[in-house]
Amino acid sequence: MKFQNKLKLLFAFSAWFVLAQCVFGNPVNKSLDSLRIAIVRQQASLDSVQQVRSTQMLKFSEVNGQINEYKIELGKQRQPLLEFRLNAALKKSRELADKISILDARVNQIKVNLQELYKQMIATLDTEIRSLLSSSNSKTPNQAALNSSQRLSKEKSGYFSRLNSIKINVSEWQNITIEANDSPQRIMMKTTLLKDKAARLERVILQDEERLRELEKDKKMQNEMLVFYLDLSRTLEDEQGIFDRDRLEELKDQSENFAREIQIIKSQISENKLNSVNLYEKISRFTQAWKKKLENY
Amino acid sequence: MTRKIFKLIALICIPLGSFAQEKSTTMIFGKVSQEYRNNILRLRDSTKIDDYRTNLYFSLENKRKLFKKSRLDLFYELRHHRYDEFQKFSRHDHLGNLKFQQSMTEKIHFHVSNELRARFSSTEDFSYIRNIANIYLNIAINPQNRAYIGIQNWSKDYFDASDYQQYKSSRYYAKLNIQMTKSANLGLHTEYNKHEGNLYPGSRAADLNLELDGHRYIFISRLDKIFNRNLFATFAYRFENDFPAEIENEQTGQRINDESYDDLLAEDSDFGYIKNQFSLSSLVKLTPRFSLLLFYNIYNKEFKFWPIRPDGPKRDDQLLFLSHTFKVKLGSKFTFELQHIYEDNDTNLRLFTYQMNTIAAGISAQF
Repeated sequence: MKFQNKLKLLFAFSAWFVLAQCVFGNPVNKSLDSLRIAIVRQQASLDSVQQVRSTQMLKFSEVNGQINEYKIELGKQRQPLLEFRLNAALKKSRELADKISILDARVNQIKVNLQELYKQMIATLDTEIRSLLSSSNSKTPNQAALNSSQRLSKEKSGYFSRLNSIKINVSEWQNITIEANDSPQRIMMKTTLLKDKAARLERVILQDEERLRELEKDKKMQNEMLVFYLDLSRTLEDEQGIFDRDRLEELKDQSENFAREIQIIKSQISENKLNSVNLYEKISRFTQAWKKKLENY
Repeated sequence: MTRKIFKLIALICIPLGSFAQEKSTTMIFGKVSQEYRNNILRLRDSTKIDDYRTNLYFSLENKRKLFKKSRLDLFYELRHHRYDEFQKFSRHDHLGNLKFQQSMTEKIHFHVSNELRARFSSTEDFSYIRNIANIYLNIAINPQNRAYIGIQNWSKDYFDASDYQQYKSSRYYAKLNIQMTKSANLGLHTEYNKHEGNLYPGSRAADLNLELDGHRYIFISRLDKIFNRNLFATFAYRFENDFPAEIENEQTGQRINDESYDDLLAEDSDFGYIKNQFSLSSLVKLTPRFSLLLFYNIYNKEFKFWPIRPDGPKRDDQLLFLSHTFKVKLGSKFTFELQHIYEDNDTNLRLFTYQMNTIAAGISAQF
């Protein structure tokens, strides 16, 4: 086991120990505390699943890069070995897409759970605040109760913003399914709709890939310019006033901006390719279902 | 109490989770070059002073991701220059740079960097320690435009000089980068600079002990354009206006407008001037392995208080600087370089009129 994982386990154990102490040591906030524990647990699961997903996405992106390279090579010259490798990469890509789809479903489920927990938490905090304000014997609540209610209100608004920030990603095409009473014509219509969406997605991927190529070339030029400026800065003294030393910093920043933009486009391409693989898989299933239905019709 | 514990756990767990994503890259660079200079003193009466110089550069750079939203870049470089004949000008510099970046929000990034240079020269008076601290915010106004606001602090100590010298300046700046098209950028830079002491101690007489304070306004406009992904060109214009602050001679108590003020000021070349500077730099990618960088620079520097003779006109310089660098990639790690530099200073103060040529050839490696 890696040292970092050991550390994480140690901290997780300590955290649970401390939390358990808090829960059993403070019976008044028991429901609040159990909700807090549940939220921390769900959040940790979400982080862990998302981390696994990003690792799988990285692999998926690498495999797709290989597929592109093989296709370009095969376009120049037909080679049986390359064809074999291309088929293997396509198979791997589909397998990874399936794995990521399962992870996506888990992510969405955890998000739904979190939404539910946040709602419960907000309601419980509301009750707690009301009880704090009404428990005071005098007509005006005492300072301690006011302070506690303010603290809880702040916590509540935090959960509100978390609730609003949860986005469950479901593509439009994922909601298109075959119903038991669908006629062959209807299945065919749905398949055509999916094909349209797949074609549109392909166009978006092609545009993004073209932009990515441009950006990568620009970044390469920028980096080469940076190296030349570095050479100049070694030859010239800053104090001579011929060469602007801030230019180096600027070029570094611009290069980072390029890197950031490239990263965003790469991740968009990977997500769209993932959608595309899943979409074609669905189209193939729909076509089979249409054929089957046509035979039995 | 419970809330505090939750916050503590969050504070501990977030960085721990992020260590797993840590990425670190290290680069090593080395370069050796031999150059010939035909006027190493850059003075009219020194045109016969030429020499060969051996340059050695070695740098080590590490860039790493720290936690989820911050980065740390560490850089060290050794620069060694050795003259064959005039060894009193030989020197070596140790240069260290540390840069920390933190994303405050998606659009605002905080940067802090510090560059320390220690120069050890064969001539003790030229050895110095220079520190440049830079703090700035990089703000994405929208996907096309960025703004930078920052402060730079310079300090320079000639620690080994017989007459101890110090220079410091605070530079407040704001920059705007406008992406005009996919491949064209316009940069606008304004700066206010308050400086104290002398940047060039070698250029002043030893018997003067002035408090040389001044203010400087700088404006830079720059256009970057990539043509067909084979040519990267930058056109820049820079304007500087430097004003001396009130000057007092610590020994005599003489102040600005005293009779000897102009004479005193004339000992220093970095005060009281207006400078207009144009530069063009372009990278031409002739083939994937062969590149050419041109850097052409011309400036005019009018000194406000420096008469070339009593009751004569003020000093006025026009400097032309041309640099051509050719690079050929030898494999993936090595590069062969050839550089030519021509400097020509045309000034009405004859002593400072000079031409200089430098030719250098070297090989570099990066891992």
